[in-house]
Amino acid sequence: MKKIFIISLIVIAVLSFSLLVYKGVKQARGIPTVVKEKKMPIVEVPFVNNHIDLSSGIGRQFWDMRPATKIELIYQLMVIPWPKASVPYVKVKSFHNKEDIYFYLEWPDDTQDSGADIKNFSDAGAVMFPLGKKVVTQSLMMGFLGKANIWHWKANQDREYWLGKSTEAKVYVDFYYPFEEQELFAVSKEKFDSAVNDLVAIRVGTITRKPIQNIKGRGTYNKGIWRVVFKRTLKAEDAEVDAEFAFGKKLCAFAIWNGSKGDRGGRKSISNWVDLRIR
Amino acid sequence: MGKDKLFGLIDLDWRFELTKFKLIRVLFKSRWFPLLLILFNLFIFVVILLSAFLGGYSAGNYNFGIMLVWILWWVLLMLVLVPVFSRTWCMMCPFPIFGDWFQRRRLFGVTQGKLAGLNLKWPKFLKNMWIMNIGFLITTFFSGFFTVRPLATFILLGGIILLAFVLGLIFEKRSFCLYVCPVSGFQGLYSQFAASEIRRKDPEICRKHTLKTCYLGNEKGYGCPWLLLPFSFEKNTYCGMCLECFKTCPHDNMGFFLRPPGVDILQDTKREPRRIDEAYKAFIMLGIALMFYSVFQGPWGVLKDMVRATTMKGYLTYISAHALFSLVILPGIFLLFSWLSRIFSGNKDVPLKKIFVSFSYTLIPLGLGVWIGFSFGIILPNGSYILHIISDPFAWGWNVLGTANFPWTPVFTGLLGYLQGATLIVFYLFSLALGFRISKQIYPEKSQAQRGWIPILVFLTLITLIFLWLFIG
Repeated sequence: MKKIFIISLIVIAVLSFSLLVYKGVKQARGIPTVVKEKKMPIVEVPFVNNHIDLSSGIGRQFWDMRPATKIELIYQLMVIPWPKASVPYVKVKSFHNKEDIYFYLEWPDDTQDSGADIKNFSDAGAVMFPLGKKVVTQSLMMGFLGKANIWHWKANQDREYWLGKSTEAKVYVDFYYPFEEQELFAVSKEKFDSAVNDLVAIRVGTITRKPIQNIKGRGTYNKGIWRVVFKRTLKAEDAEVDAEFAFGKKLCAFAIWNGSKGDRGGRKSISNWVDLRIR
Repeated sequence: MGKDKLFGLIDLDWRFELTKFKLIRVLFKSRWFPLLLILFNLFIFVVILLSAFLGGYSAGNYNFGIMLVWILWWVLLMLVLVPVFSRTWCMMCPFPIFGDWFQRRRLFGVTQGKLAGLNLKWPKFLKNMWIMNIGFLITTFFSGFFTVRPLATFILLGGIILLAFVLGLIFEKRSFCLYVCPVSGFQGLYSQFAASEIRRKDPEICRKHTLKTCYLGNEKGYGCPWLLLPFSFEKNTYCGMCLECFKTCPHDNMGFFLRPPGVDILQDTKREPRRIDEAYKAFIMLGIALMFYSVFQGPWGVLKDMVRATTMKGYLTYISAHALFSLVILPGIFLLFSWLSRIFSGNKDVPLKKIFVSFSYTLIPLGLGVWIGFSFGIILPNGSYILHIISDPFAWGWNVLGTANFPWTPVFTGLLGYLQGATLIVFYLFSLALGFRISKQIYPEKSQAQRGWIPILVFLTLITLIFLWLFIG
């Protein structure tokens, strides 16, 4: 009896310690946390027999009838500088009419920042489409693991393009060279063909305006809400640098800049990957 | 014939009894002492184990367990406890307390009669230091992890506590401490050099006291848990200073004495002879010191990579070289010098084994000096981290003592090499002083002892020069 008791005691002690060691080894590189994977938001892109002429507005009445997908945004924290505040969400709507594809972005913003100055930055919104067949989705950084096509709408550019109001007079040389028009060989001043920049990137710090700009867009600000519409032909002009929209699933991601909070460049709020369902 | 004086200054028979002071005597006879010290250390070690277990991936310098064990405890052990107070760590060590409590079936007080547990005798062929020798050497194979991975420290300390408990259930009394504990071995060896000892005061009183209560126990205390004969032992090596003999002696005939350092090294009696397992302990400790200094305080990054197991090949090379050096090469070289000693002495009747084993005890002062030097190299650069971790033991952002943000502040590191070198030279001189006396014990004639001493003197000098080069460069 005594022997059995002592042997049992030894077995319990050894097993208890072994269990502790096992737990310790499992946690040796940090206590594991279970993060419930969020479902990827889905943006439906159905066929709708409609055409929006952006020169006469964004077609607000039409968009108000369309269902929206609310997509949560988070700080961009993958590279510095980090943003000082985040935009909480962006509502996204979309459709195609077999010729063109449209994206509608709507997000809250207390201030309308449509100018650009030394310390003032423009509000902006963007949508990114990974290019190529093998898309690696581990990182959202623009083109971090592959090529990406980015449509970047900027409020100041919108104002300049649609309303013809330039912000040049107020800004300094490191943003816009004030004597650009007087130069014989202008080098820095872009002449905008659109309120949206059509960009490509293949890794960090490589974002580049495409030679051929394919995206049209327009934004309006009303009572603390930005509404922006992007438009492009459904068929890609150059599959190397333009996003393709075949029927089925496609990934995209969104980014929003709040100029009054100092957002510019990498300082922005971003979404996770979003699933497009093109029908 | 004049008295034998160390360096011509200190009489080797000089003793100063500390227990003649009533306060100390009362303390030593109380059952609360050293229990309170053990309970305090038990609390500290619970925090150490918790922090090491919860510490996960934290850096070693910001982990309570690692810093307290490998910086504070180790340095206290090597700098103060062992060289001055012998095995006082064993006196306050909490590792075997669970086994003790189980055997005694009580937390406090004295249980009369047979102790609980299986109470088996430790196997005779293992009644030596070999398990401790090999166990400690194997432990050092993982030293590159203990100091940087909190969990490794948890596994080591937890494993020792578990083993102490399990062996306490199976074997009699403190068999674990005597024959297994890796900390016990080197403490036993180096406590021979210690400047204090526990001994019986008057042998005549012990002779007349036929009921050996210090060994058998009585209502005041337990019979020697370390299975020694307190009325007759002459060396510190296996006395764990549990103080039970102070409590059980009805004649107050046990005393705690200050003494000249190293006198046990000259003890070679029939009951407590010099032994080859203890000799090997000296070689292993010296080999480990050389390896540790080269790896942890030397400038060779390639060695650090090997110890950290950056590659399996490098790690296996390290442990193979380390074991080979401590177990074969260093003793082999010493054997060669021992053989030369016999040749030089001109006396071929003295067995080589006796020369080898006896002279190996000269490595005790030198080895201790090396370890003290190594300990300076631990505490001076890293001691300031302790202020941080005692304020935030679990790295939960606490600031209990207001020192959590104390920055890393190396102290006197510019003088470190000289401090290490000076320490080494002092202990080298002790090795020489005691070594020549050993030579006179080995060889029957003085002239033989003088000649036979020369190769060992050369060996000790070479070892000292190697370490001086490592310390000062």
